[in-house]
Amino acid sequence: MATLAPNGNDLYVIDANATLLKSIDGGTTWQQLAQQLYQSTGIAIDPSNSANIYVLDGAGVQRSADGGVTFTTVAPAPRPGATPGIRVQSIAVDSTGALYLSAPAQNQIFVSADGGATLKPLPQLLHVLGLMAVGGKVFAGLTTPSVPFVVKLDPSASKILYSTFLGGTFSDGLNGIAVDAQGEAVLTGYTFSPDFPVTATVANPASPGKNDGFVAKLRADGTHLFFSTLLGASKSVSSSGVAVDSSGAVYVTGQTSAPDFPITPGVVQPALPSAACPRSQSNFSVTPNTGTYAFVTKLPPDGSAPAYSTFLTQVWKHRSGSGRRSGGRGDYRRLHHLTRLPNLFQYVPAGISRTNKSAHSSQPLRCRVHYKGESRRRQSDRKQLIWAAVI
Amino acid sequence: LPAPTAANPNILVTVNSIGVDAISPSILLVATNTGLYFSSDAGATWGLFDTGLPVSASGYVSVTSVFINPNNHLIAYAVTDQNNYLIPGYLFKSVDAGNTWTQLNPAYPASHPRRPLPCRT
Repeated sequence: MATLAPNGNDLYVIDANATLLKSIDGGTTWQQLAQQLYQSTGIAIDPSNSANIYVLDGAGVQRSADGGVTFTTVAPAPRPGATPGIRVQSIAVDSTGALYLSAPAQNQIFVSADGGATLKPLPQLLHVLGLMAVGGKVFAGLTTPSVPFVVKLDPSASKILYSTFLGGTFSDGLNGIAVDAQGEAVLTGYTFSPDFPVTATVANPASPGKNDGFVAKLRADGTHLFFSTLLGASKSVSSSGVAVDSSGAVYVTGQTSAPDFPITPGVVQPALPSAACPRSQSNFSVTPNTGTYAFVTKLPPDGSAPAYSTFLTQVWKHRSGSGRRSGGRGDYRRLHHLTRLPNLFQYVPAGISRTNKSAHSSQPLRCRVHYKGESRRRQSDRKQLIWAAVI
Repeated sequence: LPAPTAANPNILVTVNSIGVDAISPSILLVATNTGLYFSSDAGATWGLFDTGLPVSASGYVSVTSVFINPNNHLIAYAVTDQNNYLIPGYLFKSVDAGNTWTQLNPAYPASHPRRPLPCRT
C-alpha cells in the first residue's frame, strides 16, 4: 500500500508490518511513522494540508493531523455487537481538503469537510466502487448494474418462446423461479431499483441504499405481469426461494436484516426471539442472532396481501466452536430448500425448542424460545409446526 | 485497453488505478490486473509498460496503484499485487516515465528489508 502526496515529493508506504513509512527523497531513505495500521487498503493525503493523512484499514477510516505520527478513528468499520459503522471501500481527498468515502454496500458516497468528524451523504450513486483524486478532483469508479432476465424455451430447448428483462435502472437480481400448472413463471429476487415494475407493494419503508425482495408472476407467453410485489422493510430484504402449490398460492423464502419485516398475526414466529440463553462451554459459545433473519411469506394466487408472513429464524448465532457452523446464515441456507417441500410445509431451524447433543459439548443444548410480551396462551394459539427437518 | 483476444479469450481487465501526468494530462499510466499500460494520447492508443515489474501468481503483471510525480513526469511509482492481495505487494520506481521499473525496499533501521524479486526483462 503506497501513495504519492500531491506535492509530488512525499512518498508514503504501509509495509507488511502495518507500519506507515515516509520518504522525502524518492524512496532512498525512509522514516517510520505510526504502526498497527492493519489490513490497510488506502492512503489519502490532504492537498491543502499535508499533515492531514487518512488511512483506510480494518478498523475503519483513520485520520492523522500530525503527518502520520498518530491516528484516530473517524469512521469506524462495522463490528458485530458494536455501533453500526460504515463499510468503506475507498477514500480520497480533494483540493479543498474535503474527505470522500465510498460505501458500496450503502450505494453511497459520503463527504466530510471537517476531517471526518461529520459525514454528509451525497446524492445516492449506485454501483460505486473506488474513488480516486486526480488533479485535486475526486472521481468515482462505477460498476455496470445487473439486469435480470427470463427466458422460456420450448420442450426441445431449440426455440426461445419468450425472453424478457425484468428489472429497473439499478441492480436487481433473480434468485428463484417456479412454474405453475398453467406454465406461468413466478420469480423472486431482490431489487435496488426505485422504478422496478410493480403492481403492488406489501411494505417498503424508504431507506437509502437498501434492497427489497420482489415476487413477480409472468403470463405464460411472457407478455404481461400478472402481478409484481415488493417485500420491503426498513433494511434490506432478499427473497431467495419460491414455490407454487396446486391452487396457485406462492410461497417465498428469503432473508432480511430488518426486525420490522412485515409479519402477519398468529404465525409461528411473529417476532424475533428475545429469550436469553446464556451459555458458554469449553469450546462452544452462543450469542444472539442480531444479523440476518429468515422469513417465509405466502401470497395468494393474485399476489395481493400475504396470507401469512412469518419469521423462521434461529435464536442463536453459534461461534467459536471448531467445526460449528454459523447459525445466522445457516437457517437461511436451509430455507433455500423450501422450494422442494410440499405445499403444507412445516419447518423449524436448528436450535429452537430442540435438544441437540453438540459434538464438542458434554451437555445437551436446549434453548426455549419466547416472544417479548407474549403470554403462554398466546404462544399456544400460534400456528404450529407439524414437522421439522434440518437439511 | 486490451480487449479479449483469441489467445486470451477470457481475459478480464480490471483497472485498479490511474495516474495522470499533471504537466501533460494526455499522458496516462493505468494500473490493471494484467499489466501497467501507458497512453500518450489520452487513451486513444495504449502500450504495455511493465519492464522490471514482477509477474504475479495470476501469470500477469498485476499492478494495484500507480502515481506520476506532478512536478517531474519522468518519475513514477507503482505497487504490484503478488497474489491477489493475499500477500503485500512491492513498491517500484521509474525515472524514465514508466519505461523501466526498479524495486524499492522501504525499510527503517528496526525493520527487515524484503528481498528483491526476480524481474521481467
